[in-house]
Amino acid sequence: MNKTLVLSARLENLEAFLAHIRNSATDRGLDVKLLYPVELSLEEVLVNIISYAYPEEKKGNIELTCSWDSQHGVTIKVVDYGAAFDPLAKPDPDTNLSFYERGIGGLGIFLTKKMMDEVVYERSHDKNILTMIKQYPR
Amino acid sequence: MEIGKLVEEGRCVVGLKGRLDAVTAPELELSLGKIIEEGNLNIVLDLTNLEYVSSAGLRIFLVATKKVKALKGELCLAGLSGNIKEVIEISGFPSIMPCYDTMEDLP
Repeated sequence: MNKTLVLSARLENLEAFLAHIRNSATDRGLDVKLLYPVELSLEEVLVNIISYAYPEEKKGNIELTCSWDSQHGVTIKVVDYGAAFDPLAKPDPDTNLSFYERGIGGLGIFLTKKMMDEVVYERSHDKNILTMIKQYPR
Repeated sequence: MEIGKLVEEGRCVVGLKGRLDAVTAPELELSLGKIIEEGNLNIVLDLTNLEYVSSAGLRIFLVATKKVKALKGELCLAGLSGNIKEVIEISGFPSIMPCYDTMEDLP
């Protein structure tokens, strides 16, 4: 069953979004420790939207849907109605650079790409849609 | 998240417990800023009881490291295991600051 949670794009709602995914996992009997890569990736994506998708005075919504398939994989879909923005288009930070050469930031989406099995962005009907998949084979 | 502080053997051990995410990271940034201002330049972040960290938390590790390095000090991470260790390794932190699997591994 798919469950969608819709809340405004504000940092105070971050925990509710993450709890939504945690609850859906525990409902399926999945150890929350195994959910770490999904929770981390979701936080990175949500914080990006919360920070940049909408103007401060007019925060729109974020729609979060998670669905589990029979192979025990999870698909997370995050939708916002902000300006078109593909978070995956940014180049990855160079983690081989030395400490002083390296800036802070850009790490979140890099981690998301590394931790999830699949991350896809699409723009459709004024919506930014980010779909992430993580497999949990038995 | 809980932040504990213990000054021993010339170093300051900062223990983190719980979840270090975009909501709790500013709290750690403030605490570490204060600890550095107090003159603690040899800092160990004990992550043994940390359950979760995201890039918001990793950013604080980097900011604090830059601050203490500018003052000729050092910050290291200890108590790395499981998910937390994986994320820190993927991010390339071991080449930026000393990282130890357990508190006992500290020099």
